[in-house]
Amino acid sequence: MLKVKAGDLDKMALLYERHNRNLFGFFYKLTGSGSVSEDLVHNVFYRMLKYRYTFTEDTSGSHRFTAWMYHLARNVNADHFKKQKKVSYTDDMEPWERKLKVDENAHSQMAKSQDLELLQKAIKHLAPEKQEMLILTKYQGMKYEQVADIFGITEGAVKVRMHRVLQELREVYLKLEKV
Amino acid sequence: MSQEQLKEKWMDYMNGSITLQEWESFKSQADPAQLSELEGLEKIWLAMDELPATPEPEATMDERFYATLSEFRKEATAPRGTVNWASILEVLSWRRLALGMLIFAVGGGFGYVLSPSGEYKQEISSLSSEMKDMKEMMMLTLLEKPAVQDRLRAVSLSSELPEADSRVIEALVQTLNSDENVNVRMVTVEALARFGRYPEVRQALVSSISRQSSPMVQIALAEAMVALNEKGAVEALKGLLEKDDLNDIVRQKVQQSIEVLT
Repeated sequence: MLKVKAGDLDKMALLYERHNRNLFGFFYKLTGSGSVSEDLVHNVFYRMLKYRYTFTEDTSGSHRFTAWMYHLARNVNADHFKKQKKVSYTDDMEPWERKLKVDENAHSQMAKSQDLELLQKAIKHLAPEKQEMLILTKYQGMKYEQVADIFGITEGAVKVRMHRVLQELREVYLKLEKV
Repeated sequence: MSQEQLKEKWMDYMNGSITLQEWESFKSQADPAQLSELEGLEKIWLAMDELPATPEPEATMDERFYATLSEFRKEATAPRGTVNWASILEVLSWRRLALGMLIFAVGGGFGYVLSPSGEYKQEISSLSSEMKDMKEMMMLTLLEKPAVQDRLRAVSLSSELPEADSRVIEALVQTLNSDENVNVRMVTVEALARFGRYPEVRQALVSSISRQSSPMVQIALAEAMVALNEKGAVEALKGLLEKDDLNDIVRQKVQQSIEVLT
């Protein structure tokens, strides 16, 4: 990224190829929509190019770029979330549409599918910051140390928060199950 | 082992920081009552693996990125107005130069003889005015579209207009103040700054400062104010500094802009 900052924009293509799928996965888990996630990935890379001069050198190596990238991604997600709130909340049906294409006639499959639907709903009930932390840890395979860098907190604080997030997720899930 | 220590070890195991064997060994020392809560959480954690997998993004995502990158590349490599004549003359021999000049002279002669009549020139001017109207109309239509790409295109079309009438300015100002997409608002700041010679545009940019909540747009506006040397923006920029939730980078940028303008 330092080379990009210095004017070697071709290096941005390398960074894009290396990180775009992960970033897409991050947004997809948050939004449940492929097209929205594509837009948000584009926004992140647009901001990286536009604000490349704000990237600062750090001795901690490659993690620094990932932390910066997810920092921008969280801002993009916050903007998106605000916008969604203004427009009114709508549950994106895209992932369920995809699932409908699969043959799921069996009862057990249906029950499982309902459980997973509940779980997905429960995740959406969490505050955006909690969802982000959960996704970074669970699906992006990040260590607590990296998550701590992105959130600007200590590793210990990440563990405590993650534990609370899981407790809250379980409580919400159980509540939804009773409804 | 305390409940807290056990929770921490479980969190480490979930994150792959300790192995299954290590976790099993910690577990064996724990009270079964202590483990019951963790088992519930583990179920949720494992169930998350079953959620629909992330699909592959469409190819258009890559296309959009590379188009954006190429725009930035163009901007970065745009000539700065200096021409290295020495290197040009090095490449061209005197024969080539002479031939080039001869062709230029012959072309000039033909151009003079075949220059269009007054009527023809009038037709061209009326055609270009129609083209301008069409571009303007297209821009105004695209600004209303729901797709972000369309609205971005609309704003970039405004840069092709040599002059902006009140309709165009009004539409751009409205986009700046109410478009939900940050990218669209950012390019609109740039587009409006190009028409900074109009006092109403400067006024609109100044009054938009307090309306924007996105740090990116706030920075773009501060930069535009400096580029236009709009001293009337100082008060609005100071007002921005009073916001408690202002982003640190934005705060720095706004302070710099105020220093330049005062």
